[in-house]
Amino acid sequence: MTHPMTTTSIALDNVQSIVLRGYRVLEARPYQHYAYLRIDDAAGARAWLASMLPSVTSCAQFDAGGEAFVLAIAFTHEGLEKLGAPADATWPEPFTQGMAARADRLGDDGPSAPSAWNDAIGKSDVDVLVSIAGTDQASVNAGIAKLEGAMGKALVRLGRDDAAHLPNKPAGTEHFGYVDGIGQPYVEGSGLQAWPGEGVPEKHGKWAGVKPGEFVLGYELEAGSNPRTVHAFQKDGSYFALRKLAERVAAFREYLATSASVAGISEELVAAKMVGRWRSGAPLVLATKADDEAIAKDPSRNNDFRYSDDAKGHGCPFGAHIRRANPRDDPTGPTSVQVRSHRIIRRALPYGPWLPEGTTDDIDRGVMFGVINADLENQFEYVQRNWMNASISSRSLSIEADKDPLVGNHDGTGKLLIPGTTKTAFCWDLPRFVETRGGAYFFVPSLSSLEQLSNDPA
Amino acid sequence: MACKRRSSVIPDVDPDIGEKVVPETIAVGMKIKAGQKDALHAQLEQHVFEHPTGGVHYLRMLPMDDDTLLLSAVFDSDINALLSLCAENATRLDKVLQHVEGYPESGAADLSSMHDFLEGQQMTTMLLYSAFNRASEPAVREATQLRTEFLKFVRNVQRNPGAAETCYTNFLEANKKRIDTHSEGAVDQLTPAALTAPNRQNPFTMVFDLKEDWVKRLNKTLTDGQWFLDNLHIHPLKKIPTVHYARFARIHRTKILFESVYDGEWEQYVSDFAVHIPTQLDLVWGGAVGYPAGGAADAPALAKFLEDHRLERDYFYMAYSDETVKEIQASLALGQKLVTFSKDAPSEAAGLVKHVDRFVHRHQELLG
Repeated sequence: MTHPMTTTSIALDNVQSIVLRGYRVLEARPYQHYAYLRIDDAAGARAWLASMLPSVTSCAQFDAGGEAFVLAIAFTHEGLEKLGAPADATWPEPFTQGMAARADRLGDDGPSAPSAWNDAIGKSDVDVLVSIAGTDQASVNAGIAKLEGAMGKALVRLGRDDAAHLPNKPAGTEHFGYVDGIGQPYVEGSGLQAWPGEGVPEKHGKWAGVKPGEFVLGYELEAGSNPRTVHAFQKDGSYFALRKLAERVAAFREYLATSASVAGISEELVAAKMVGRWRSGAPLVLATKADDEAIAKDPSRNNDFRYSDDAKGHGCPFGAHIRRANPRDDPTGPTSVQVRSHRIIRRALPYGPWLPEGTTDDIDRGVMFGVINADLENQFEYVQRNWMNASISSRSLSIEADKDPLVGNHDGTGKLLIPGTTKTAFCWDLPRFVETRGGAYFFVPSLSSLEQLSNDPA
Repeated sequence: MACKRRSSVIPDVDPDIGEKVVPETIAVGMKIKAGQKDALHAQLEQHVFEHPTGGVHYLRMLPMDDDTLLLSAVFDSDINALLSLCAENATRLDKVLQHVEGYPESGAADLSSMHDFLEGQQMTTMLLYSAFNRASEPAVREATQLRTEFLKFVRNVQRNPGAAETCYTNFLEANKKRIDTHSEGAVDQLTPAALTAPNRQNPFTMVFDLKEDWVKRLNKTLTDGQWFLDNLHIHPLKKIPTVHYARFARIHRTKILFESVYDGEWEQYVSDFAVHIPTQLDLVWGGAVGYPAGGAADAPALAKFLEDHRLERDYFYMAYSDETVKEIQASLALGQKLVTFSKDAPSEAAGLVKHVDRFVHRHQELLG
């Protein structure tokens, strides 16, 4: 197996590891803790930040390994203002407004509306996010002890979320049963190994990395001729959109059973058609007829496919989750130029226990879903608005009216067309399987900017 | 970048519905009375066209830079459809237009004065493009409704095959007229539906200055060759999947108006232009003052050019505001197919279920 050599051009010792490390299934730390803090005393918070600095993990430190835990610190716009971020740095509208104010664009309505957000992550007074990840719960706990030991009265913990790989399931499995987090962008200059299919489709079966400026501020963008202005404080930073997404597992299982009987195909096939991958992770474009564990487990194969090889959607339906989220070179979808400037890095781990088969939803469960991107409006929000909750970009089909079958903000009337060689099937009456419990937009400063924030501005 | 040629999945047929209707258009520049600009703007913030009437595809009103109010519309066949819409909504429209010079005292309710008023001030339309070849406004609206109803019917049959006959009877009862429309051309008997709030469609209007040496050249490009209306099948805008209408009009010799109605995001609209038809765009916009040196292929520069010349404060009326171009095109094509479908439909349940399955499989590209 040969792979192109990667070059490093990003300041990996200054970029926090939450931005560019540990987001692919095989590299993810299996235990995750998010703490939501409010700053009550700026001077005390700066002292706390100074004491935390040695524990913040850069990409370079992540690569060196041996850390007790992986820790990141990020801020909402209010948090940055309280600590005294440079006044001449300008911030994009989605970030200053916050996620709740963007509900219309994100499709957070009905049960997902901010008015129904009761969890800490959705509270309007969250200033700081501390993310602690580890190989086991003990190392996460060590990070939490470190965080809390220095907080004093300057910071108030508003709440926490804990997420982890589900026991006795393949790594990355979420509550609906899919192995999640396989399709990720390869970032040019990130120093990571590039797996086929992770970047931007090019000629002769090759793939190019996505430009680093799409994820880290201050670097080259896909639309190279129009780089955005970045303040020195923002350089090497990124934006992290974090959402708590509840999954209605029993409703989903019941829906699979009903749809399978109406469509005359198996439940597993319905599940696969909705997402575009079998629950193992094997993509339908490659494993069209049956699941293929070997492909699913092989990172050099499980992303190495193009929709130009499935132009009629006989493998992966046009409306399937992964075809919407990253249309690659889909000849029926948006142009490849558009696709490459709307990529996101996802960091998702399940929260709540696995629901045994045959039981009904009892307690809240779902995924802590994080998105790394350099432009919230043009990346995360764009994908959510145009590709998850609508698809007006299709050139050949009229799938606009339909939404993402799995994560769309459905009202019970949506459908999914499943093209086939001999029969065309539908999933009808799609309900909302995923509900937003809360969320926030954070800025992830570089290590040098964190240090700057920890200094008294006077 | 080399692109493989791929054929569109939707058959590129002319979705002619019954009688052909040639879309007509008008653009009128009206002088705003001195000192009344703000009062007029305030009236434009209101919902003017509350009562829809058939036959008008879209209408927009917006103030242009030089104290001129622009009113433009696309309608079926003759201007009477537009006049009816104005008359039906005269109370509110009068409140807007009382602020322009020469507006008849009798207002929009007086069809003949209104007609003279509009015709007297119109600009020369250089090109009108419509994504729906010669389908009338009611035909568009009814076709999308028929598609929705047909999908409901398919759902009901698939969920309950035993009741297929009843489902079909109900479907036919509610939609016979709509299906007949496609075979008989009885389009003008359809009643207009209530308007919904526009959300997917966006109007874009811009005015640009044309370099003197391009005056003849642009005229020739727009009235001849591939940009010409009659060559719809090879029309450059056919390659843009989100454009409902587009129009060039001459305000005066070197001042040109461009307007369009498009689906979805601005960024995608611009990108589609830059990727699909950059050289064709250079032919029509190349003579504009401020046009990017690198032409339309430079998408960010193209976007900046368009944004710099964009007119804000659009008042926008669309007869079918919730449908995208692709949905409408699919609906029009599906309507025709349903004529045959209904002729060949067996009467007993089992045969009907098979008939539906076959039809759905064959025309899946119109149903997604």
